[in-house]
Amino acid sequence: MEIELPEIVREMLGEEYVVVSRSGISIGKMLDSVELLSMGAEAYIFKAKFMGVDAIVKWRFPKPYMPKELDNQLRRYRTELEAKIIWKALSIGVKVPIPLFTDLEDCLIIMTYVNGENLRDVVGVIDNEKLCNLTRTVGFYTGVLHKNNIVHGDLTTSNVIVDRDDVYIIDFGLSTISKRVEDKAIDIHIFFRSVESAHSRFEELMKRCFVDGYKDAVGEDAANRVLKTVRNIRLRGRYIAERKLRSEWIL
Amino acid sequence: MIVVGIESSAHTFGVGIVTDGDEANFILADERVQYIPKHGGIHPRESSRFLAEKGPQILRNAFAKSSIDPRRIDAVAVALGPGLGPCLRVGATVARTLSAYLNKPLVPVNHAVAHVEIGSKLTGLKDPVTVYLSGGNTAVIAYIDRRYRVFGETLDIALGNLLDTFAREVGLGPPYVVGGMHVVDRCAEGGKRILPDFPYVVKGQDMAFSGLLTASLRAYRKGVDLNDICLTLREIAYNSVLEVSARCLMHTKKREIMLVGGVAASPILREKFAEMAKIYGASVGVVPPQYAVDNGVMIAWTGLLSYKAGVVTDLRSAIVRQRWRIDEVEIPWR
Repeated sequence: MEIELPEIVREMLGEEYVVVSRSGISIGKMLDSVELLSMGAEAYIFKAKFMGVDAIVKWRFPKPYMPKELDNQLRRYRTELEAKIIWKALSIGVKVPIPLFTDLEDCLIIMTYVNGENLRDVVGVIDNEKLCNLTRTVGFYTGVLHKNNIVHGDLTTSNVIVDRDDVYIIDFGLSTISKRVEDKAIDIHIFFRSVESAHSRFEELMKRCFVDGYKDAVGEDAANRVLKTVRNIRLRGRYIAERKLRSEWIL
Repeated sequence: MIVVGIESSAHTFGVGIVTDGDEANFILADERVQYIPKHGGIHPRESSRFLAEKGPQILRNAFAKSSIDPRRIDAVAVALGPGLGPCLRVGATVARTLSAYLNKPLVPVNHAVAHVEIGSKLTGLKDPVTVYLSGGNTAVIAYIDRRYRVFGETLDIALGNLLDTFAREVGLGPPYVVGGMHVVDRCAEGGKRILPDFPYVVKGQDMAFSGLLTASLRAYRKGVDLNDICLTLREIAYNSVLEVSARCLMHTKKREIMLVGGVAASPILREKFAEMAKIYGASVGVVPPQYAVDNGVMIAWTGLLSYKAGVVTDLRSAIVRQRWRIDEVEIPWR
């Protein structure tokens, strides 16, 4: 697939940087070996070398089916917020990619490359104990984020990278800052949903381990408050059998 | 094998008769009648009265037009949910009676599953991400592990509901669809700009529209240009569905998208989906409008698939289920 790179990337490909150190002067390329890694729902993800560091270039591409103003507004807003929130997450000890460069005009973020596999792809491959430990860490990190009022917004198994025993949370593209229990509960609801829909055979195990980790981070009481809201949110969905109606008809 | 299917979940009483003997002409009969309220939305009681009144004639027509002796059919299929209770009960009653009288097995069918199955059949798509958009449903669905799983859905009102309610409140409808196009789509054509600060609510894979409805109505009452409001409302609503669909495509790694349901007939929505699919190298199948809306054929066809896989119910258990979710249904035939 041929992709027209945004201007900022094309510019950077031609730039060089100079490092002056005691051992002499070295010249390196600003951006090098850009290759398309994957395509997300709203962004292209490239792998590249940024100032010699293995990096990810995330570019929110313009969408031709959307009116330009609305598209630009959304892309810009999400890019800015994502960069800010990743910084915050880093500072509170959650493993996330480290942002190296952002450009709001072209809706671009360059961040460190996390070498690992998608949690979605390793479920069913690894043994249950390891799966539990990984999911527990996801739950723990989610708890830490929530304690700091960061809501991920798209916490699916596709957005967790596993590097041996380390777990990285990626794609803060839909994240927000919020104190509301409701928003935090939606995070968990989304994670549970992705587990149910894509890994239904491990549903029980993954939910249990996630909740364990979450409780470790926020404490029993706070966790139970959020989990109660998760249940309420599920009942709000359309056509839920267990939802009680005041005037449920009986044949 | 010949199966008769009965649909009555909301405003349509439909009777379809299908066969698996003839690939090209599998539809032997397709009769239907639709309740159209004079004003306002569908009142379940009024609609069910209408369906009960017209239903028997529709059934008679279906058998007459297909010139099939009712005793020759193999099974009776009926949509038991989801939908409006009083309306569903009309179809269920007819189906139970028919099944008992003819002494033929009764096959329960989930209305949403039926939309997906008739869509796959008519578009020829093998394993699509299904975008189900109608007055009562907004869901992005994909088949995984013996069930149609809901990847994303509305957390409050449905897309069709949003468009119809807005149209009604500002006096654009009813009727809501004129010449194959929704009145809000039409009104949006005159829009010049996207209004600022309207809520665009996508939460992971779910979306919500009630805030958008409120914001639109508030802007209307303030005297903001109606065309601009229509444009903004439509773009935000359609694009949130597109975003969720794109996300589902990426998540499931499927390569096909199918549009079903009443709102899927919107030509503007179709264009947008075609453009979106191009980016992801996916193909789009749009169910022909006649079968994208509620009909008896889809119930009959799904009933046929179910019956072949051994799904039947006894009359006593054939009770309507207003909130029967698509992901509660095992799909043994796929």
